[in-house]
Amino acid sequence: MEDKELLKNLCMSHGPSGREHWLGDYVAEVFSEFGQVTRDNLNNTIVHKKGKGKGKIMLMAHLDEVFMIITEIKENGFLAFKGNGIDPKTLVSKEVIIHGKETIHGIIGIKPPHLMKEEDRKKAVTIDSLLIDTGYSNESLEKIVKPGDYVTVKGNYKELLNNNVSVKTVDDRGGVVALYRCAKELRNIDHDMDVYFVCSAQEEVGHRGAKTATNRINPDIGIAVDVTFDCGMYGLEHGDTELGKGGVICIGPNIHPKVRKHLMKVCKEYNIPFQLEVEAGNTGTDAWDIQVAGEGVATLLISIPIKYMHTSVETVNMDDIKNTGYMMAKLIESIKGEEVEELVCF
Amino acid sequence: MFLDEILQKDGLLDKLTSLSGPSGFEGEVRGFIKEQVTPYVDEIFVDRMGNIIVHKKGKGKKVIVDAHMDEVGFIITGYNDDGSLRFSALGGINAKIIPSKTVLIGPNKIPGVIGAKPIHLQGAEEREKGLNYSDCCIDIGATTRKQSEDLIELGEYVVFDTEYDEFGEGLIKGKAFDDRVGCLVLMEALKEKYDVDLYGVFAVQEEVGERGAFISSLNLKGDLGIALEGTICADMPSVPKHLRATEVGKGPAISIMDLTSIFDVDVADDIMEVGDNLNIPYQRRKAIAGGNDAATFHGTGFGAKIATISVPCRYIHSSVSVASKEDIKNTVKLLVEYLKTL
Amino acid sequence: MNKLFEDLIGAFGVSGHEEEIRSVIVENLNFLEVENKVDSMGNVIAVLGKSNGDEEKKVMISSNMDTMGFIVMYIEDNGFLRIGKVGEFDESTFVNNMVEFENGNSGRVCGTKDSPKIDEMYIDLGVESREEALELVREGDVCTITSNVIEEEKNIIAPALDNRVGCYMSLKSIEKLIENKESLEKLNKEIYFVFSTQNTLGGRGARAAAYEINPMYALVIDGEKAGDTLGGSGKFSLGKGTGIKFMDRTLLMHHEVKEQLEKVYEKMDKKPHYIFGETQGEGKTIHKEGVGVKTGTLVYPVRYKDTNMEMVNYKDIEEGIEVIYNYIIE
Repeated sequence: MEDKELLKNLCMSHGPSGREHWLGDYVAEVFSEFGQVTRDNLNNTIVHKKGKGKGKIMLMAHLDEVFMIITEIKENGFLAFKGNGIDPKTLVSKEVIIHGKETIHGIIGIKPPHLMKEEDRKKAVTIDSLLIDTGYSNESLEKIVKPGDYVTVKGNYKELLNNNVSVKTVDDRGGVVALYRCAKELRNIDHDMDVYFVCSAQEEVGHRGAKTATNRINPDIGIAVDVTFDCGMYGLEHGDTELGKGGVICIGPNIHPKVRKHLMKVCKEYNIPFQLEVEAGNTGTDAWDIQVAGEGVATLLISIPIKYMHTSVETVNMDDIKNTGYMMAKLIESIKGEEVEELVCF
Repeated sequence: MFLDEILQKDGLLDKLTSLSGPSGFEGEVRGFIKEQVTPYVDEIFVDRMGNIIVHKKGKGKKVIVDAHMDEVGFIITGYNDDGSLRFSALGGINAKIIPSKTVLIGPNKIPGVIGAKPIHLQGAEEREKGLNYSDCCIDIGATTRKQSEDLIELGEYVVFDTEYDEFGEGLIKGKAFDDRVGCLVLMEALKEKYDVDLYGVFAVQEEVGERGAFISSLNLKGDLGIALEGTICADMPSVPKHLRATEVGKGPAISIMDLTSIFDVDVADDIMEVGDNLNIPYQRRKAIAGGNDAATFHGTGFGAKIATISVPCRYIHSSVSVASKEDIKNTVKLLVEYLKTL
Repeated sequence: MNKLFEDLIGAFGVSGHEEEIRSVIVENLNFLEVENKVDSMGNVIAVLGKSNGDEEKKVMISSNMDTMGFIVMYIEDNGFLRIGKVGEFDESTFVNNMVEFENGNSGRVCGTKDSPKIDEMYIDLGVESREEALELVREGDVCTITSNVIEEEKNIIAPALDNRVGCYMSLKSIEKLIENKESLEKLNKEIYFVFSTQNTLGGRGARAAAYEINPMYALVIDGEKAGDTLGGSGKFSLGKGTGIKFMDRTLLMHHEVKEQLEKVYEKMDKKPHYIFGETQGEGKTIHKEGVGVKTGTLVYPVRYKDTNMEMVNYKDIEEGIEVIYNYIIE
């Protein structure tokens, strides 16, 4: 399957934190040709691609997306909700999907400006001031929806210039596609290490799935694949990260220095473009929990640069996804079984 | 026990605190400590996170004594066009501390200075505002971006350039007292013999979240865990007595509670009893602020009984700290004698 | 109000100092002849039922036994006590109250100014010097707010109802299980009842218990604020039954546990309330331990939670016991 097709299928689907198993079957189907697929207690999906049993490497991208959750059914078919990880400003005038007994559509609108007070017009929108309009009568609505039901944003896949694509949930289904790309590359490669591809759960609520998946696998090396900000007009103030220049390799205490330097060497050897960023502490990704799980894991973080993170128009360059998958495959190829101990030790 | 030589200029503590080892980059310190403690222990190895684990075999309870090797420092995050370097803190260093300091970069200890705008050039509003990391840069004297890039890698580590020396009456000053002082106490304690099954952990990455100790505690699974720290000491006249936490010269501080642990009363009582019986002065750490590796003893595996014994240090997490030689000696004594009772 | 309930809400047990409440619970378990033990963190763990080694059938039911309180950090020269907080709560509401220490001594909570924060609060023991104070307390001692227990017709008003009511519900469901010998015999699961420590400090006891037990499922029993008061918000109401907490700041309820509980309510011919929790809960540390635990929380409504006069409804307590019992035998 082409990367673009997989990205579209994954991102247009819905899998909020805690309900990753809604995507579980599709992901299992996609990855089943590479090895055995299992699911753990927190809904992490784990794919085991056998190598020669000499060392274990785990690649992890999170499957869950930011979400909203219904807290109350108000009058006239309106629903009150709480959000997680979504800027309320981006929810105004948005179409959403409500996952109740059935899946129904909703619209988040706001008070028309001419009815707003002067101060309201200036202030930023808050979650508490928004409501989801379902268009149903309360009587019918109550049969379909109840508090605790999940709501996700409706996706709209768009192909832009220069091999850029815009769709919701590139964070982090773009990472899952990079994992898939890596798996495809490994089909023709002899690798000593056993490879575990993990589509992790509940990253967006505090990378909760990462720890338990890592505990179960107990790998020697763990690579978290996530997304990062670019340094353009609406990105980070300082830095040089750009879309299309390659996956961003992280440097810092969360990252194992030797393995990271080895990865950079591999990239230079095969002319795989990459970028660098520094994180002085918590990287805010699964990498933070991977490092101190199991018996301690030599950890890497590779991030795919995107624009407009946590909005429904996240924009990514397909070459960056491809190159991230490719650099991981080449890294795995380059590590001989007997070199693992030396590589991860201090 | 006389530790005078060790605490003098050019002594062991001088060497220990002068090494560069901020969180995530403890290599220099690890190599040095490994060499020093090997003759006194039965087993020694370095684990997955880079912690040094030593074992003095014994029967009875499994006791873990932990001190962390890392100091707070900085990491290079980028280059400015004029050749100066952008940086972030490794561990908690308040931005107020940073301007006008000299630093050493990387294993080659390339010298740099942390610059900020001179006051004469600051507008009235600017003078009022607090300083941010983004307002400062590290200057190594390079004139172009390329010059900096060629000399210093992205993500290189940086430490304060502070000289160790004796200070005032019976005090010492230097950098990285938090927690090289704790490491020193542990190193000295390992020279004695005990009945218990003793594990010493020289941990990494405490300052960025007790990361190393998490793994060592999880894997060792002790019954009792003791953390050794260089801890907050705000015994200045401008600070009301009840907010000082500890005082220099009053002996090792035994913790009551901090942000990540509530310490076992019976263990604290036993330690204090040893102090009373042998006339070793001690004090309580009278603040709840901060946290340390003890959090990992009860926060992993089956949990454990916990205690923290600290040497009071003024101005930790800054470029220069102050501590009392007597406090360090008494901390060693108290720890050793307590371990002997187990 | 029966003796067990009285003993449970009256026992001292600030986080990290749970000796008294622990002995009340152990005594009750021993009286019921249920095997129990105390682990490294001071949790009480009792097991009922048996499985044939099937991982699927290990269930943990957790209620915390600790309460919040104050801890003495510094004794002034003139005998006043400077204090810290144990647990997350609004400390300024306790100014002008009396506190009681584990050893029975009392003191008065005072503030150095209006609406004080914890470092502007102190305890007056009525002594004149540090020496005199040291005859009554030590640095490191903990205390709770003294209060009354008031039995009304429908409700009970007392401090620490959250989460001693949870402990009560667990113990009563154990009792019910033992009385129903047939159900107990047929039970093909291992149920681990955990009475945990240091919950107010972030689920520290429960984590260690989850690590040791390594259950497949965990059900946390907890109190959640009732919003049906003047100036209150939220849909949880007193006397209208218990609820399923589908999400809080630290736990997304596992869908399997949600479905299991929904089945229980259906069997009881009751409709559960669906509650969104604004704060953290013990499930936070349980679900991420080891290889992961499928975790959910059953909540009962508490008016005026985290004050020294909380209010819980008797019918809600009875329903809670039924829900736990039915969850176990399902």
